[in-house]
Amino acid sequence: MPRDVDALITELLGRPVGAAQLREGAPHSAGLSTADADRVRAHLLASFETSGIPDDAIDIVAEELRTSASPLVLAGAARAVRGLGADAGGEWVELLRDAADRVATADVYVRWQPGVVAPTWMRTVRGELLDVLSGVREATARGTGAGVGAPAIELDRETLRHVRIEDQSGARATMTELLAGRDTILAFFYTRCMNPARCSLTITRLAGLARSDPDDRAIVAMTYDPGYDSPQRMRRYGAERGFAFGERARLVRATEGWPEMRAMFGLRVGYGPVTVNEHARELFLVGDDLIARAVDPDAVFSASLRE
Amino acid sequence: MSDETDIEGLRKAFVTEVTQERRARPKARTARQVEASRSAEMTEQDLEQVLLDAETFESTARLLLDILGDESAALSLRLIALERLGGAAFQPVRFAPFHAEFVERLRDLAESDHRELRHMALDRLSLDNDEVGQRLLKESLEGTRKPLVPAATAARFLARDEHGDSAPLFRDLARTGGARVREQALRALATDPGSVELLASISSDKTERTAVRELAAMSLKAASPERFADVARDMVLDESEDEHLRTTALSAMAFTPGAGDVVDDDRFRENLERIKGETASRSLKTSIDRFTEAREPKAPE
Repeated sequence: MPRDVDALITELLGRPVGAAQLREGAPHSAGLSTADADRVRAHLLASFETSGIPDDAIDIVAEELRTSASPLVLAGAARAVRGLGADAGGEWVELLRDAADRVATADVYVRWQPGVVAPTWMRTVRGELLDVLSGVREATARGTGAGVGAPAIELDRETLRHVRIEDQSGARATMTELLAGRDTILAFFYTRCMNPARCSLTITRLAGLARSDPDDRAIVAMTYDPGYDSPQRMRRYGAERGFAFGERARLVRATEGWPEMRAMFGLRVGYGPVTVNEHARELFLVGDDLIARAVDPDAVFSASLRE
Repeated sequence: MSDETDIEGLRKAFVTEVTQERRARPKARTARQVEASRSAEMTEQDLEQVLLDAETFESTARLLLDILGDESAALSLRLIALERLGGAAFQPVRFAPFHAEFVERLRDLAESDHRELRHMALDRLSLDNDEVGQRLLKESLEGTRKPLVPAATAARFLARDEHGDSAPLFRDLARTGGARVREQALRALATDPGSVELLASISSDKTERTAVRELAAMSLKAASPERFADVARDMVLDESEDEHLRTTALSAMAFTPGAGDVVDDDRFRENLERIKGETASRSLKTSIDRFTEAREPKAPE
């Protein structure tokens, strides 16, 4: 029996697919279960096998191969890379190989929706990745630096004043107070994230950064799931990842104004019936002038390691 | 232990004991033996002896997958094969080449004619958050397909999804399901902030069974300690309330700081002292003492 999600996939693939449809939190993903959101995403990615990857979606495909824990999404990303043909450069080799290694112990057969992606032999996810990997021959350089040159966001002071936050110890403030007086590294996470390469790793890395950052920057991570992530849950989550809490290093949730916060930063997060059903890795540098810039999390953390 | 203890004697005794134990265990078969043992006459005992040891892991996993997928094989053999493969999956790196096929077999077995195979397959799939297993369970509960397992079992399996994507379904079941299904649904809603008022309402509803109210209250405690505190305070102070619920609610507040902080003031303490003097329930008196003790400021170490 066809499911609603299959009808949604058919509808979405009836129009050209680009970065807008793949943006986490896109309207079509609202209310979907995590499994259905993954299924939709995988099919959108797989459609690039025949249409080619639009320039604005290259980074998205790379990021999925780098961090996704969903076997189906990885299979979709593999098919997308196949669409690059001769343009697929050496940087994809490493991404495909790492993804194939990562999915090895959770490998499954992929059940594509009939008729909406190019027909092939039924393969496992790892089989898809390895098949594409073997086809990637040429090593042409193609940048995948997500966030490089990202536009600045001028944060609205009035809105920030109305966003009320609570940190892991239950201390309350407004976003204006939180960001005042110094530069801030602001990341987003949620404690129910099941992907160890995303939220868990982000908080672990932030904890390391907070211990070693030579600059007087505040290190703040805000939850995508403010209804569930109570101060106790954030405190436990951070402590388990070595987060040395202090005035300069906090995990916070918005108790008021979360929708405004989400809109102001243009956060790439979508919600299912209860919690997050898809999200990106998002990290911003916010100056004390309240100008925010999205940055590549890997670049920030590796720079701090070099220092 | 005295100075005269015979260390060497103890060592020998230990080695003997370990050796005897090892000899008593069934021997791992070679790959050839495993292949040879795959016959129509294969018994449960034969299969029980098939070990997934290092030397025969691959050939044994292959054999077990074949048995699992063989519809003509005896049900008992297929159940043993499923159990053994579940154990093998605990060695994820070695099992990796077989994982996709195992999951595919489980997805097929989830719709098998055999009740036990369906149960075990869905149990395993739901533990791995498999999307196909979750969909089948959901459809069973929604009534859009023939039930694959009893509804309470389906609810229990589906509740393992840590994203709580079935919360809307569980909310319906918590209101309208049969007794056991309601209990499973109430447990599942413990991670759903959107169900706080539903849980509070069931917890406070004196027309509900005590067991159901207790479950709702415990899930409410997880979903919102602050809202739980409101409900629990009313329960404790209501003399017409069920004694067991009063006791449980107060004990839960004692060990849930987020709840205890909300209710703990002089007036509440005075009420507790009064109730302690009036109640005949020993467990409620103990619970009051426990709450008071837990709320005492801790002396610095």
